[in-house]
Amino acid sequence: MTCDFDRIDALCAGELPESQRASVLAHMEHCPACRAYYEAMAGLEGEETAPEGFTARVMDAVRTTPQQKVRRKVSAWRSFAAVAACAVLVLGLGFGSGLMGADSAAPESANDSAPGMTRDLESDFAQYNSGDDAEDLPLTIHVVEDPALCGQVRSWLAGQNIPQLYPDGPREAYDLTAEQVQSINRDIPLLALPEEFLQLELKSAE
Amino acid sequence: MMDELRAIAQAKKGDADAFAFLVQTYETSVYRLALRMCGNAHDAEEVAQEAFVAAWKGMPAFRGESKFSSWLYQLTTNAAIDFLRREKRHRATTPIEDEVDLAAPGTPQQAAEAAEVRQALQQALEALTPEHREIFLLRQMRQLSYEEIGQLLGLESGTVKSRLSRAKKQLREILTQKGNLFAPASVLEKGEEENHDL
Repeated sequence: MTCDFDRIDALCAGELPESQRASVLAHMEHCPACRAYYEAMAGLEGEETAPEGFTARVMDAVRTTPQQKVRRKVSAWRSFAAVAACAVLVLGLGFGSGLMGADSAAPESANDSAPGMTRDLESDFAQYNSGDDAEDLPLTIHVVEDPALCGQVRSWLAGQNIPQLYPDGPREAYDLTAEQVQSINRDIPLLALPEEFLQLELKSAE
Repeated sequence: MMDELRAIAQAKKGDADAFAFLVQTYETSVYRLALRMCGNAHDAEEVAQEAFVAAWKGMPAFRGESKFSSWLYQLTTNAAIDFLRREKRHRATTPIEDEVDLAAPGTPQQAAEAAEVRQALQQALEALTPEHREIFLLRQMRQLSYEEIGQLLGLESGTVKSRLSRAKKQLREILTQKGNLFAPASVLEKGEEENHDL
């Protein structure tokens, strides 16, 4: 075998095929250059430890540092097919301004599965969620505009006695637990929501 | 006993105690990575702390699209690059061995030789651009895949491979020039074509 530093790199990374290991090790026994390179690379990890009290100092800084508020997005969907891929559900009917002002490009056909709109809703949500409450919200909200599905979901929510988050606000939103997501998926399979904490928002009037 | 996944989930919701578990779990690997990036213990501690604070701030947005450790390592190298730029000192002012308690295996002569090799390697690392050092360390020290590095840095895998190859070639050339390595030219040239079949 000739000098091959790439194989030595792989050896150090534990990625050298077993079939090549013996020959590389044998080569290094009589090749000072490769042995020196191996020692350098094998020593890359080192044996240093974090200074004493490091975690405590980090946590002192952490406890005075607020976490970032997540940037929430809304996707507007008009099709059932698209709904099936939603992570968070927002049912929307006839909101022509504000949140839905940008959804004029949303696909009209039920055959269109592409999202009509994805936009940052941080500013839109700011008026409803301020301070720490906002940090508990899910990351993404998708808008569904199909009237029939809106009705189905609204009925299901009423049957489950799931309260609105903002009863006096223009957003008709609901938090769903993972168990409730499983339940709504069973009852309305078309939704096929991922089994995680979700927020559901209904934008339509009755 | 808290496990990592549970700690991540809770830290995402703002649980500082859960995050402390993650800090304890990764403090050594993050600190060592910061040390290789910065070259001295004082800067490494500052960078490692910045990385953990950045992780804490960003936890709510961590979606698990990469491994938590990979994300944390990228935050570390990113903090180091920012630090080095901010301080305008891409070369460490204090040799790492002056500040770090290195293990001394074997005889004093062996320990001295090992320390010399490590010092040469650190100096060679510091001769790389911070961006090349980042890719080299994420791959060679933390064993992230090309795909992971590419995803974290927003680069194509091919770009990661070519930058890594250039970094290795430069590193080997520096080690050779410093007399720590002797290798035939053919070996050095091979650094340009990363051995992808390994």
